[in-house]
Amino acid sequence: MSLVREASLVAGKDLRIEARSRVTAEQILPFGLVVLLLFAFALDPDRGVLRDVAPGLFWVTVLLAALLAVSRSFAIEAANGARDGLRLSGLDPAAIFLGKAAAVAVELLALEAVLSVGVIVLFDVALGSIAPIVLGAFLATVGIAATGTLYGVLAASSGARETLVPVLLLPVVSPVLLAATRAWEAAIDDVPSESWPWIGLLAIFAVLYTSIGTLAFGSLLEEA
Amino acid sequence: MRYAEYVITGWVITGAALAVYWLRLGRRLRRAEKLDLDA
Amino acid sequence: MTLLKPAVARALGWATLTSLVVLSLFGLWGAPADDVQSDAQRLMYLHVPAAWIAYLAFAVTALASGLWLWPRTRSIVWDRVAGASAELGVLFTGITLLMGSLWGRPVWGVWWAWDARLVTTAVLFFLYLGYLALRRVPGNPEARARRCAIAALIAFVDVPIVHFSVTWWRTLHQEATVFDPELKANIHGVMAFTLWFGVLAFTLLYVYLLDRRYRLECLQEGLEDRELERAIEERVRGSQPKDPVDVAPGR
Repeated sequence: MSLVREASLVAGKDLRIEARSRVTAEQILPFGLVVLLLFAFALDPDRGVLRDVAPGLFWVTVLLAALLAVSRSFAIEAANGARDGLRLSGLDPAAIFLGKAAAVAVELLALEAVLSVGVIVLFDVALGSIAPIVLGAFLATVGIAATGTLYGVLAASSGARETLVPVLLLPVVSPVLLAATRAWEAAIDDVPSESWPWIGLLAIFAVLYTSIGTLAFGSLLEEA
Repeated sequence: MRYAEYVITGWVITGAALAVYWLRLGRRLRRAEKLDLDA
Repeated sequence: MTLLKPAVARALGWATLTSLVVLSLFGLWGAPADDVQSDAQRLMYLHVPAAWIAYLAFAVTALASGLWLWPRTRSIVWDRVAGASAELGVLFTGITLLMGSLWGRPVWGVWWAWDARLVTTAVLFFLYLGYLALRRVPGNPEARARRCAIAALIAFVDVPIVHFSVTWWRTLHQEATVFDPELKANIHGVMAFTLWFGVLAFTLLYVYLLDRRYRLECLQEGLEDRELERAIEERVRGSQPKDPVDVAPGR
């Protein structure tokens, strides 16, 4: 079976589990919306700050939600020896990585779609140029999902130390936060020419960490 | 010395941090060596 | 068991101590005050060497991690070196940040500035703090070595990305001109000597501490189990009636 086919199998499995358990929809999404609400409490809408910082707040919220999504991605493997099942399935570990990362990415993108509506409505943000916003979000999400899945398996292999993933993941993806926020700010201000360099950085990050994950996942899964 | 409070604080902190680290290292080493011999 | 022969390590220890004392003399007294920064310059004799050694330490961690991952060079020595060096790296990064902050207050007027180098150093600090947390997670030695090695390389690869993105971000805001890099052209003579001597002294210190930390790492494998055995043993002995012959001296 080809790599893409195997990865789709794994991604499909994870997404089907999500469709049935609806953890992302019923737990992680509300969490994201609550965080947006909390930002409004913290930053006082009347001071006019919220609209300016909305992109940054959005991406911080996405990162926090990603921590939960990654944790969930590996929690589903913990029950019923599913991890052993994955290992013994004969699937290429690279495909397992790509599949799991893809599933996390899809969940995050769905989340982001809803959260953006939230940001537009709650923080009174107007969209400028759409293309950098969508492309930037896509690339940032791929980068976050890939890195998150990589650290997810790393933490899973050390006996489910979930509290370790945040402190490991967040510093590493800080450039993604930086670039995504800057890209979105430029897009919202309708200066797309300033977005593209940041989007380039997001692309590099996504490619780099997807590659590292593809290479490293197999050996880490063995130890899990 | 101008800004003496910053300069002295800085050198003292650095010296203390390095000294504490070195002493702690020494203590842990001695304890580990003792346990190693007992084993 | 050690990276250096004991005699060499001892000599290195004395050389380190001597050079640190000499550095203090030059840094606090021998070198003149700077034209612009005045005596705050003296903090640079710690900040710059600490930064260089921090980078060196993390580079060693990355190299050692790579050597461990490469099957042909795999050896537990590299895993231990990686861990030891990372701990030193975090220590020196902390010193770098503190000295930078103490320098910034009188010279820039603020304890912290969102300048590219400071921010990158702060991210570096947290990257490897996380690595140290990962090292503390128990598990079989090979699994632990593998995940730590991969984590170290992930972090190392991230550093240039962080540096580049933060630098770009800060230059866009054009505040780089307000916060000049600490080493402006006027470093010469005794000041330059002191700076380079500082780098030398800290390098000696790093190698010396690395050797000691490595030794500790060697001894520590299985240490927790042995300590537990010992604690249980002592508790058991304490609850038994004391036989004068039984009590070993020095216990």
